[in-house]
Amino acid sequence: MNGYTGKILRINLSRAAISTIDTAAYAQWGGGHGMGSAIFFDLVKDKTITGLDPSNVMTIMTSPLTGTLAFGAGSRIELQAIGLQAYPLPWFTRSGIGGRFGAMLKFAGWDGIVIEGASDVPVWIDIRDEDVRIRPCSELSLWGMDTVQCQETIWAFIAGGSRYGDWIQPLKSGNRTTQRPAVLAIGPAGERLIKIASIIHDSGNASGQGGFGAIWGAKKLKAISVIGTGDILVADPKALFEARRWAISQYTFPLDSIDATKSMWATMPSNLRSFPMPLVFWKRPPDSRPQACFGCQAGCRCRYGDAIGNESSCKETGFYQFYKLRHMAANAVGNTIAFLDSIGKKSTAILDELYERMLPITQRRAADIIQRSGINAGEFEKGIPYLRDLNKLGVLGPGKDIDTDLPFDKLGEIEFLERLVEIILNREGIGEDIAEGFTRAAERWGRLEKDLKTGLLNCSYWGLPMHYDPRVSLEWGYGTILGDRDINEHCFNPLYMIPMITTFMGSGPPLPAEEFAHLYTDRMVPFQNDPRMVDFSDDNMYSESVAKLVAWHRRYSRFWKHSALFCDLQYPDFFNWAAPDYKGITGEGEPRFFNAVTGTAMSFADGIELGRKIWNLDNAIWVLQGRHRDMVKFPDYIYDTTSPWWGTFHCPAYRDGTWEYVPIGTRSLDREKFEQFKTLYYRLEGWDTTTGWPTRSTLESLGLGYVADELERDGKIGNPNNGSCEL
Amino acid sequence: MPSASISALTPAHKGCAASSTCLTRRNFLKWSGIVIIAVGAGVSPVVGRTRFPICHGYLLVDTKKCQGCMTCMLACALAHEGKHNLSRARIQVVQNPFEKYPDDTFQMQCRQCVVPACVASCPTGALHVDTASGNVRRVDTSLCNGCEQCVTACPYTPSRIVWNAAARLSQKCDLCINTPYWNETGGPSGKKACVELCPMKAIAFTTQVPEQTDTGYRTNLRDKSWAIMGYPTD
Amino acid sequence: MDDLPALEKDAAERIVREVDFQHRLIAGYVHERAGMMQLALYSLEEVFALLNTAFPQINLGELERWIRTVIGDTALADRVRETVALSENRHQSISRIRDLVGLRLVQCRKACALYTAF
Repeated sequence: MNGYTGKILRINLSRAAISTIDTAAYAQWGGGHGMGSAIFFDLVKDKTITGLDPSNVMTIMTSPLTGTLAFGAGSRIELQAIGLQAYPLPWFTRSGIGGRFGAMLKFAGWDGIVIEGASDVPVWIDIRDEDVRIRPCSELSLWGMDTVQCQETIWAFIAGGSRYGDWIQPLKSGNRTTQRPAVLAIGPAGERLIKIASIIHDSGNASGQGGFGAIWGAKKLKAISVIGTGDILVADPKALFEARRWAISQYTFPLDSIDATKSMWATMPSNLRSFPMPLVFWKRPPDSRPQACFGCQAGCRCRYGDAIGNESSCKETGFYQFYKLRHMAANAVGNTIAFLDSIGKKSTAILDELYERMLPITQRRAADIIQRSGINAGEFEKGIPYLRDLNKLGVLGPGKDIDTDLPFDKLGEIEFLERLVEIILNREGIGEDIAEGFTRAAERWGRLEKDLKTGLLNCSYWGLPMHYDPRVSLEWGYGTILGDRDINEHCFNPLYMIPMITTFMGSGPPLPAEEFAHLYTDRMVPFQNDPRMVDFSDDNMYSESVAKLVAWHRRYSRFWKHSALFCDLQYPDFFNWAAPDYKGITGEGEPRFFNAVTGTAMSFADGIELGRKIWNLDNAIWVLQGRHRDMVKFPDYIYDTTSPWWGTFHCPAYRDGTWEYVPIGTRSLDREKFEQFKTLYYRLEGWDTTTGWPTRSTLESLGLGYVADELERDGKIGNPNNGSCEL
Repeated sequence: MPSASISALTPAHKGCAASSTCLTRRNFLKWSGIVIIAVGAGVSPVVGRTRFPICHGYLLVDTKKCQGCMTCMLACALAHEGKHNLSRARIQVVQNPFEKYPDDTFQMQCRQCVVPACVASCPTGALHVDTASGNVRRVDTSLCNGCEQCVTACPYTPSRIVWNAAARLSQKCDLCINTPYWNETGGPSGKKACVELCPMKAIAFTTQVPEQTDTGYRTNLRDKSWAIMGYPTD
Repeated sequence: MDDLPALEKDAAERIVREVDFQHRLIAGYVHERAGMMQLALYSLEEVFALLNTAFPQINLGELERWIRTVIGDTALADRVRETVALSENRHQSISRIRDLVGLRLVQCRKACALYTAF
């Protein structure tokens, strides 16, 4: 099996037992998420257990492409388990990590790791090729360490007397490596079962969503270290080389000819990256380099001359930027100045004068604090403004209803963040509440209902922090509420971000609305003949076309993004600034790389169909956990308040026989119409429109009859007479 | 004509790890500089009674431009062996995610030394100067007896001789002369997989003997675009 | 840009003060990857920071009203209104208002020795 190593590592921590699963038994799922869901389904007999139950199973899966030259697909791993974060029910969920862990796991000879049970004492797992040991943390005093200390301690242990930089020989086989082991580790947050705890790898790779750090904490699992010296087999090396060079030449800008007015756009998500520009919210110090995940052509993070903030990107770089001007605006102003520089315009005297007095290092320090502690930045991004608003409202603070000594006069400075992390880790005062996540904290404070009615608590789906607004970004919001977590899939962002940005700048979108729509929908098999799938205008936002979009998006992501593990930052690549006709690599690129590595003949459509199967399996697991369509609702503020995006959000729309760009930034959802949309969606999927449960015929058509059996035993199989009609 | 004993290049260097300040290394670099002068005068370096014609090509790496993606390592093993294997890549990238730039990442390539200690140390002739292919320092695996003297002899850390433990053979960079798994002709006059695929253009190739510094060949591949992106070019 | 009238200390202190919850200004910013961030702004400093993000999401009419009625800076509010009317696109509006607010903050700092935010 090219691309696969052929075996999956199975570890039962309760029994300290190590065994293997034959990858071939799950190869039909294509890797990653599909395999993880299938293994989870088989091993977890009672899907209603909580995330902290020892019977919860975590899968950590690679794909056939992990560790290869496949463009934008060489690095990622997919983690899955019943989580802790979502509200009211923590669903079976997923989270991905880049970096180099997945590649190293493959080189060690493993396609994935399945973790069952829970240890009595804190342990870590030491994988050196075939040699796998469960070791007590006590021998290295790992339990209690932050994620950096933990990784460095394990590195030193495995190197023995050798030193990295030279060849070391950590293996009985005699194979040598220059590489540091790749380590996944939890910090104090995970150890203390904080439900917003993450799993960290290297300096800035995090599995943030789901509270997976606490899942490990409950299993008394501190870290997994892997060093691999073996082979990853590739079916057609020449085809893989040629595919890589084709992708570079056709879909990226030459690195040595940056055109700031156009090609810098190629750093946008869901557009094959051309330049190694970091996605950070801070003013990047010039003393830095780009840093990339394994095999990536253009890194999206940096390492710095002072090592502060190394490898962090996106939310962890921006969650603490907005509270005290001296700290926050340093970054914002710095970026403004940098932007003006990049387009050949001079900064203004006012900006320069203000910037000189600012402290641009605070955010980088903040990022390191949460990475070392192992806390999810997304919760803090929305949770800290919530704390501040409650403080300003007069209900949270010293001697208030919600009593806390958090130093709000230091908000925006490191002192506030350090104290916040301290009270959470120690479960001290309101830290005990926040340790459950901000939604559950609001519930404990008796504020959940009213704060979700006004939107003061900005958690827009399943109690999770808003990422993209469901009132505007329909695919994001609908996909999330029909799923398990903030989808964090930027597949269709350019659909509204490009019109937004170009309108903001005054130039307008690069293509007429109809062409822009077709650029997306022409490749969206099997729904490719419906361009209104990407019409997000007010009169189309609950349509069957949008239901098709959501269905396609779930299918694409579940296979190509979560199972084959193409990076979200680059795929799907519909609109590509570097391609002469703007037509990106999606549709052609994904199967070309997949087949070069695996030797199979998978088509793009095959992948979409496999994604449908995986999505159906996931939905069945959620139903077994207790999902019903009545639960699939946004909080009140999404229906009752208007979205505040007063910028220039536009999308392509079909009106009165013509296509145009229309504004979509300020609106709310309609409850009744969204319920009608759900019915359309369930019907499209072949599910019971009354319950949202899958029907036997749909599952059997996908080869999931055994899943239907389990649903039927639980009395949760969909009624085929309730409107299901697969389109 | 300059002369030096090969023993001056090899003693106990494994004890000095990766340090660029180790005495043996400095001696080598100092001596190597003299050789370059000689080469410039059209003279082949001599060790004992052995002449080593200079190689017709050299890989240059700009470590400050490397993004640590390991693409070069993946490409190297794939082009040579048809599979990915980090331990068998003839170019190595070592990084520490917690370290300060620029000490966080190093690319380490075979230098095709003007005086190749690996070749000089080989008792079987497996490690040889391939005069038919631009004087590239290569391993003839059919002659390799697995003694690892070349591994030890390489004056750099990590040794640029890659040890294939399964086959008990030495391997090294051949400037892609023997790369059956891609559709290119390699060698000094051909294409090199690491150069071709490095997305940062942080690896270059030259036919001139590069200028030597304490840390390697002097190379700066960071151009105007690098500066536009806000990265240092000095 | 340079014709915002000078300020006395009392006025400066009023302009840079933090307002209470009821008088906060709702705005936001957008980042193509990090997404949509809605924020309550409690001071003119925070408005300035927001206007420095790449794509500020703010109702400029509401901003003018807030500056006029909550912050109490009529001169600045007038300039914001003029700027919106004269700008060719939103980026131009935002950039010019950003610099106006920045200028006002510098004036406040100079007028008010106790004001040490920068």
